[in-house]
Parts: sequence; C-alpha cells; structure tokens
Amino acid sequence: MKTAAILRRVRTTNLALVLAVAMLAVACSRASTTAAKTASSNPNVALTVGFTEDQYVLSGAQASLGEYPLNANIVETLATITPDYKVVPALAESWTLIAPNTWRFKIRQGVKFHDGQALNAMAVKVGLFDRLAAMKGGSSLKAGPNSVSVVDESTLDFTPTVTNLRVPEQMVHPEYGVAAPGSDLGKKPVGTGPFRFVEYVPKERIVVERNPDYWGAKAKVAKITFRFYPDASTRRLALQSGEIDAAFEVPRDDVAGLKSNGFQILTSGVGAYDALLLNQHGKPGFDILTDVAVRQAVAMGIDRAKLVSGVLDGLATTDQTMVAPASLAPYTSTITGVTHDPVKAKSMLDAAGWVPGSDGVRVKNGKKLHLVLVSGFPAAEILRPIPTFVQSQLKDIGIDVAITERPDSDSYSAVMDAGEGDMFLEQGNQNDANPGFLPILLYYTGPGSGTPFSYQKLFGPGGKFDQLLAPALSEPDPVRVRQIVANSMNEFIDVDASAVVLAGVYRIYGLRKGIQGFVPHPAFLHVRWDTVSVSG
Amino acid sequence: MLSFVLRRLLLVIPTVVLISGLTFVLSNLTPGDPAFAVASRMAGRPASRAEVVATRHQLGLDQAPLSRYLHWAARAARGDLGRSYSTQAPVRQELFRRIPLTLELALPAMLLAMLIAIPAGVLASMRRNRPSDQLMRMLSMAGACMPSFWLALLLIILFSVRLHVLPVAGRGGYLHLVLPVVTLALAPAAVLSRFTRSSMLEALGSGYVTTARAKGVKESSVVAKHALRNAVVPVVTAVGVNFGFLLAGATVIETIFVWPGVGSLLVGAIQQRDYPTIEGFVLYAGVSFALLNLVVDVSYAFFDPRIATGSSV
Amino acid sequence: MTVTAAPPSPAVAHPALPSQVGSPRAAIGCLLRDTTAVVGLAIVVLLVVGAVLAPELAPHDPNHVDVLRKFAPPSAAFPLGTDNLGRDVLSRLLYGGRISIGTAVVAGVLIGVIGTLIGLVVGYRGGILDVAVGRVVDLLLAFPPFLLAMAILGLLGPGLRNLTLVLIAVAWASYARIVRSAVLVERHKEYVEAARASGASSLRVMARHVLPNIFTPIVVLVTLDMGIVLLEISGLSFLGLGVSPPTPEWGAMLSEGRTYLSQAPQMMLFPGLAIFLLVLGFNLFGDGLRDAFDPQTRRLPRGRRRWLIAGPRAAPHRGHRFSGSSTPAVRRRRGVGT
Repeated sequence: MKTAAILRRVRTTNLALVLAVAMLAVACSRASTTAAKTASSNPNVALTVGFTEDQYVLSGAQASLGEYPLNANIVETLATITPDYKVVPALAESWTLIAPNTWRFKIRQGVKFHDGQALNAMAVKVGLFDRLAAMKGGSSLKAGPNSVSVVDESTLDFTPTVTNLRVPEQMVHPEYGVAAPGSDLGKKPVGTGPFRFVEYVPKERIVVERNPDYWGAKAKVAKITFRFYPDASTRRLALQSGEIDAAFEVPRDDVAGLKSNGFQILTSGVGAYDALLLNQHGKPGFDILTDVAVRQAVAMGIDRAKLVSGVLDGLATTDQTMVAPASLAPYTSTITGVTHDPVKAKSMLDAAGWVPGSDGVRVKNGKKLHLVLVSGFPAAEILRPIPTFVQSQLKDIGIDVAITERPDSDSYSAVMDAGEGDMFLEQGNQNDANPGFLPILLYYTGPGSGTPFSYQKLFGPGGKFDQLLAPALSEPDPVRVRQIVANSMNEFIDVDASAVVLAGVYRIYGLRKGIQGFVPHPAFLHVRWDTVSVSG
Repeated sequence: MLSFVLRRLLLVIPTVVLISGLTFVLSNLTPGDPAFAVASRMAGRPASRAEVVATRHQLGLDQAPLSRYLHWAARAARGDLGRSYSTQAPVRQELFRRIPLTLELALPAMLLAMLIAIPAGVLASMRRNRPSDQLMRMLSMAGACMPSFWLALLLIILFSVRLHVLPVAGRGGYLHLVLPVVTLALAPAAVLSRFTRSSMLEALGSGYVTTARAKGVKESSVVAKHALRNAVVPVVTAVGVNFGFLLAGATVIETIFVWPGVGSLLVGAIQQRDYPTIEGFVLYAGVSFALLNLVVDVSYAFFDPRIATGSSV
Repeated sequence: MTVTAAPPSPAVAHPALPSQVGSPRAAIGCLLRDTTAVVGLAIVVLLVVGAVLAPELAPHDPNHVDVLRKFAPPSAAFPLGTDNLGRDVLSRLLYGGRISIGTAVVAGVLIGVIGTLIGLVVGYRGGILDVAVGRVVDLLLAFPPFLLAMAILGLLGPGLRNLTLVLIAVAWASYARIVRSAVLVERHKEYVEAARASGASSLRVMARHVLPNIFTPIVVLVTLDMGIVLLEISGLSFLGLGVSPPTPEWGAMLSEGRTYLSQAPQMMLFPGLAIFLLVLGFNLFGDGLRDAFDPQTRRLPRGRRRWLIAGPRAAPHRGHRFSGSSTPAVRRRRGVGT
C-alpha cells in the first residue's frame, strides 16, 4: 500500500536524522584536527585569506581572473609600485622615452611562464599589449593594434595611440599583467608570478600554489586559498573564529576588539580619500553652492579630527590631498587643507547673506539653506556613517542637510547625471603612480579634455585650476608632474573649495598571530603574498 | 489526467512570456545607466565618458529597448540568457552552476522541517488541547512570526561568535551547513506542523476512525493505520508547496551566510544592476515555480482523482 | 486507491473565508474571552502607541549623532544602548515604528482595498476582463511574492515609495481571487437578481449586497496579512532595498546592526525583537478575530476552532483550482522566508 510505504519512508528519515547527528560529531572532531595542523610551523603551510567581493570578469578582453581586483600574484606587470607609490621594475628591467611618444622597454631575461614558455618581447606584445588593444573602450595606457614593435628578444617599443607620457606610472596596475601567450584570463590564468593558479570557484574561492620556478625569491607558503566575503562583518567574524588567517579591509569598529584578542592589525599608508564633491554649477534648486563663500563655509564647518577620532575610530587621517600624499612627494604640503572653524564659517555665511532663521536653519531671500547630500560611490555601505555625521556638523552652522543614499554606483550616477544634489560623497582610491590621473579624468575641462561628462559638468572649477593642471599633459618628467598636480589641487581644495576632503583613508588588514612578512599596501591590488610566512 | 497535465504545461508559456516582458519593461524604466556602473567597476574609479560609451555599445544598451527584448527573447527561447554585466560570463552557465548549491541548503532544510513538523503535528493532534499541544502551537506560531534574518544573526552570535563551534559563513564541510539549514527550516517547520496537526484532526474526526475505535482497535493503531495514512497525502503535497517558498526564502539566508546559491546570485545582481542576470533569474524562477506547482497539483490530483475531473479555472 | 477520506474541506466554496458573519456583539464577546487574541491586540496596541507617541516618549532625538558615546551598553540614559553613531537605540526604535508599522498598515490596507475592488469588478462584470485579470492573477500567484517584490525592486531601484508600491503590486491578486469567487456565488442569488431587476445599477448592487457579506472576512485577512507585510518590508530593507539611512526603520536598523554584531548586539537585537513581536501580535489578534467572526468555528471546542481554519488555509492545492483555498497570509508567509 502506498501509505504504508510512505510511513516506512518516514521511519527511514528518522534514521537519517540519527546519521546526520553522527556525521556532525565526526565533522566536529575533524575540524579541530585541521585547526591543529595550521598552527604548526610547517614550511609547506597553506594560508586562507578573506577578501571582499568576487568581482572578476571572466570573459572577453577584460577578463581578469586572478589579476584584478584581487591580485592572486599569478600574473605580473612590467613594473610595480611600492607601498609609497614608487615605480620599480618588475618584468621590465628598465624603460626610456626614446621619442616624443615612444617608450622602449628592456624585458627581463630568464623568466618562464608557469606553462614553461619563456618570457620575451614577443610574449609581452601578445600577452599584454595585444590584449589591451582588443579592449573595447580602450585602456588608459592607450594601446592600439599597431602600438608595439618588437626590436629584439628582450627589447620592445611601445607607441600609444595618443600621447601618453605617464606609461610607466600607469602600467603598474595589475590589469596590465603579462599573461602567457595563448592562456585564457577568464578560465585558467597563466603568468610568471610567484604563485600558480590551482582552481577557482566563482563567488567562493580562488586557490593558488607556490611557483617553484619563480624568477625571484620563492614564496614562503605552499598554497593560498582566497575566500570571498562581500560583507565586512562576516569577514571579520571568519577571521576571529579561525576560518581565515588574514583578512582584507577589516571594519574600523572591529580593530580594537581584534587587537585585544591577539590579532595583528596592519595599516597601510594613505591611498584613498573620502570627500564631498560640491556641485558648483548647479541648476536651479541645487545652485546654493555656486557661491564660493558657501562652499568654503561648508569646508570649515566640518570637524575632521572629530570625524576621524569618533566616526572612523582613529583609523584614518586628516589628510586633505585627495591624491595619495606619497604620490605627490615632495610637494605634498602644497595642499594645506581647510581648518575647522565654525565661527568663521558662520560669519562667512552671514556675509554671504544667509542669516539664521527661526528654526536655526539659515535663510536668504526667503530660501532656506538646504543642501542635498548624495552618497553612493563606490557603494553607500562603505561610506555609511559619514553622511549622518556631516549632516549633524553642518546643522551646527545653520545648514540643513538632506541625505540621499544610493545603494550602488549606477543609481548614484543617475542622480549625478540629473544634477540633483549639492554635495556628492565619494571614496576614491589611487591604484597607480600617476597623481594627475584622477584630477585630469574627472575635473579638468581645459584643452584636450574632450566632451565633458557629469563630473566635469558639476565639479570642474575650470579657470585657474585648468591653467595650473594643463602642463601635466605634456610634461615628461614625473617629479615635475607631481609639482603641477600639487599646485592644481591646492587651487581645487584650498582656494576654490571645489571639494571638501573629509579624511585620508588607508587600508586595514587583519592577520592572526604568527603570520609574518606581510607588507600592507594602500591599494589592495598590489598586495604581495610571496613574502608572507607563518611561524608558530 | 494527461490532458490536465498538458493543459497546465501550456499555461506555463504565457506566464513566462508575460513575466519576462514585464521584467524587461521595468529594467528600462529604471533611472541610471548600467554602463556607468559596469565601466566604473571594471576601472575601480568613476568611468570616463569614452569608457561608458564603449561599454554601452559592448552591452548592446545603445539599441532600442524593443529590439533588445526581441533579441533577448529569441536567444532565451534557444536557452541562451545572455552574459552577465559584471562577470561577462554566460548567465545560464552561472544559474545552472548555482542551482545545486541552493539545493544543498534547501533539501536538508526541507528534510529537517519535515522531521520536526510531521511528528510534532501528529503528536499534537493526539494530545489535543493538552499542554504539549499548546506548547507546539506556541512554538509554531513563534516560528512563523520569527524574521529568519534575525534568527540567523542570533544563531551566529551564539554558536560562532560566543561558542566558536560553528563557522560564521561560507561553504565548506558539513559544519558550514548547520546554521543556514536550521534557519531555513524554521518557517516551513512551523507551517507544516500546523498543517499536519489540522490534517490529522480532520482524519481523526472522520467516520471510519470512529468506526475503528468503536470496533475496539487500539488507539495507537487507529492513529498509525487509519488517521495518519489519510493525513499523509495532503501533508506530502503541502511539503511540495512549502519547498517552493523555502527556495524563495533562501535569498536572504544565502546572503547572510555567504552561500553562493541562486539566491545570493539575485541579491548580488540587484546590487550591481546586472540586468541580464536578474532577467535570467526571473525566467528561471518563473519556469521552476510553474513546474513545481504543476507537480504539486498533479500529485494531488493523483491522490484524489475528484480534482482532475473538476473544471474551473 | 486506499484514500477514502476527503482532504481538508476542499468542498467548501471558499474555506478561507468565514462564510457567514456572526452578530458583532457575540463576536466581540468571544474575542475578549480569547486570551491569545487579547495578548495579540495588546502587543499591537503597545507598539502602535509607542510609534504614535514617539515624539513624547523618545528620550532623545533619534538622529542625533554623538560619536563619543557610540556602542554604549544599555543604561539609565540610554535604556537600550546606543548605536555606531551614538544615537539612542530606543528612540530610533520608537520612531522606526512609525515607518515600519505605518508602511505595513498602509500597504496592508491598500492591498486589501485594491484586491477587493478588482475582485468585485471582475467578478461582477465577467467576460474578457475577467479572463485577462485572471491571467495576471495566475501569474502573480505562481511566484513567491517576496521573490517577485525583490526582483522588481531590484529593477526599479530601492526606496520606501517603490517598496510600498511593489508590495501592493504583488499581493493584491489573492484578494481579487477570493472576492471574485465570493461575488460569483452571490451574483446569482435571488436577492441580487431581484435588486437588479428592480433597476438598481450593478455598482450599487455590488456595494449594497455583496460587499457587506465579504467585508468582515476581508478585514480579518488584512489583519493577518499585516504581519506578513511587515516581515516583507523589513526583509527587503534588510537587503538594502527599503528606506535609506538615517531614517530609522526596523529592518534597516537590523541590517546596520548586523555590521556590529559582536560589539553592539543591541543594535540588531531590539529591532529584530520589535519585528517579531509585532508580527506575532498581528497574527494572534488576526487569528482571534477570525475565530470570533466565524460562527461556524465559534460553535466548536476551543482548540479545534483555530485549526479547522488553519487546515484549509495551509491546504496545498493552489488558488487556481479552488478559489481562495489558500489565503494570502499563509501562502505569503511561506514565501517570505524572512
């Protein structure tokens, strides 16, 4: 009978429950033995690292598995940058500008790809520049199909499609890695790096193992499993519970707790910023900040020290350079930043005609001093406590702030395209050694800037800023470029208050006890794992 | 019976066409340009105009919405759901890779729910209005009202943060299954236990049970042989319906436990405005829920032939 | 076939609906004697009063930031502690109730009203309109509403307004179906025919004769649905698809609290508790309401009463076979999974 059969099945499922409990018990005991294994000082130790979200592109010319944004050290670039933004040779031993727009690279000899192919000029052409040329929308290196000529086995000339004098500073970006000719960066990346690709499970993990034939010092751990944890608190809990040995981007609030539990917290130099971009060309309804005095008052109204110590747990700096300070050296101090001065801010607002209203909000000609703060780039969550803090700070000087939080960069950009905001809160990173890259891309409207887009339309101050920055486009000397950019950012931030820089941001890495040799980098994508070892 | 099944199968088609059309219309109503988000994500900074234009072309977003829909529909009919905006990998491949991962949570959760709910429901029906029945009713009411994301966090605090006995999140060994499965099982267990109890009461109150009792059959065998056998049929079909809803509930749970199933695929796609993936998901969900409903109805009709002969739509 | 007993009452025309309305006085008396219903009502009233009187009751400004006192544990000044920005959790909870409860009530009522109106019109008019709406209803009922709401919200973009609209858009269908079948039953009854014959417009006939008969059951269903809507709102907010900060809303607060799980458990503990209690309150009260207004179950012994209804409500056969055999509440609860 059917029902009897069902009943029998019910009984067997009860049996299954007993089995499940038994399996759990076995699994528990197994887990404790693996924990003991990782604690030993075996040189063949395997490491598990928690990264943020899996954002690999897996197909097409932009494929970036193992390369970007999580650099698993499989593929290497021609040059690389140190944590203080110095460009140092990697697969290229040297480079020189041999013509107004032609770079000659000397390729390192004796290097082999993981599949045994030798690295030479031809391999660099195929494995890097041809790949870049195929990218739709082009790369910022400006590589075209005919940009490269192979001079000899170890020499290669690169001529960008448009003049690009920042090639060495830009090519440190892991996106410009040299993949083995014929390898697929969407499925199985093959490079020259200290680690070889083992396996990849999307959204779950990527596993690499030591490359025993590496041209430099061999990696000190045998294997690394990178696991993806999009949510910062989950990542930190995983670190705390021993599921991972190291974590990228530990939430600031968790640092004290982790430290007191014996975890190592390593912080990098400043490589990112949190800033309010001020809409200085706003349409009616969003035109209050067209007045430079109000912009300056906003900049003065915010207590950055309190933001850093209170909201950001002291784990940020009050740097106001936007561009990574180290990449501007020795001209960093040209940008002075704005000092917190609510009294002066108030008197400036008074002078600008904004007088305190009955409810504390300033008014001018019957209009309230009401500003819309839009938050959401790169993601609202990253910036989460800041809008509320800014709101309460500006309230003190009589400015009413409404917060519009957009969860993702897409809907954020929609608000920006429509010009429907006064202040746009962003976090920006600097990933290469070219300090002028973002200022030129986002705010420069002078000669050679092309069709303006929302950033330039809303925030580009034009005038003196453009005049100061323009020489950077034709300056071959990287040090001179630093000076030019520092001068223009001084105008942008200190004089014109085109942006209110809230904090300098650095990266926070959490490691369990016994992990050694980790060098924190201000940009995630340049972290190296071959120097990391485990003891005790 | 066969024509009943066929009729129901045919109904799946307009459902899917309508829902995919709706999804497409909605994705075009949304303000914002997905090309900007995609290009910015690839660049790791705000994308330039040139990059946005190129990306828009690459994604086919520069074509008219209607022609995009027709293209999409024509390809979808052949099983090609396009490529994800964020990974550029085929959507179908990603969906099929993740479905088993969701089932890895959903099947044990359903099993657990049944193991708790069916015995509890039967027991409660036998001890109607006694303390154990009252307790079960309270528990099932509480279970049905408990926000599962809250429960998940409470369990994480207790078992992972405080006691360190279970992993916080991620996919790994059996231990990784425990918290998400338990959380996921709660709601169906609560609903199923109520349902089992009421089905049992129905059966226990019916004429033949009274007859059996009058004949002096032992109470335990009345329950097992007569009542339970009749209550099992609706309960088994209820399991089918609940399974569908359990799959839906998995979205939040997968997000909390960083479980790479279809649910977290949808949540991730929503956060990244990955329209091809959202559309592909909706199509998948439409087809699978239609089929699940069909299976439930057919099985019900199979157990109770009166239904298939009825005609009202 | 060994199956001889009927499955739980598929023969009843619309088992989800208490078929007749008992006298209000008897119903209220019965309701007040039902302890669990009274407890449910008390919970709802308490939370609603807290939300309504938030400006009076809240000890602090819910959005006042003081970073120097963040993550403070519960104390006399901050009865439920403070959050990551030093804001008072209790005050945010009270103000958050305004958004959470307010949205749930508005959405719940609108779902009931819109669904009922569509059901009335479609049931009365019939014809091509009935067929067309029937298709849409089929479509909506084929999906777990939470999933559908999530997908649509993902496409439309988040926000409280979109959230409310989407919840209404996906949930009206079950009401329309139930009301439609009730109308179909009533339409051919003599008194309706007579009213029509005497020249009353069809709208008036519906309003005067059909609506009163289904009004009470609809109110009961809306009450039961309120908890489900609240769970959906908080679930969607938890995923970041609802209100945007700093607006306090329970689901969003819970989501924020998740980030600070170990340093400040109060941030996720209390909003979750509030959601749980309110959903529980709506359900207990709704259950009692249904029992009280249904003379059929009122005559039955206590325990049996609730479960007789619960049975068919959770019946596995889907709406399209047996009109209204599965009420929105149970059907949707299973869909929320949140």
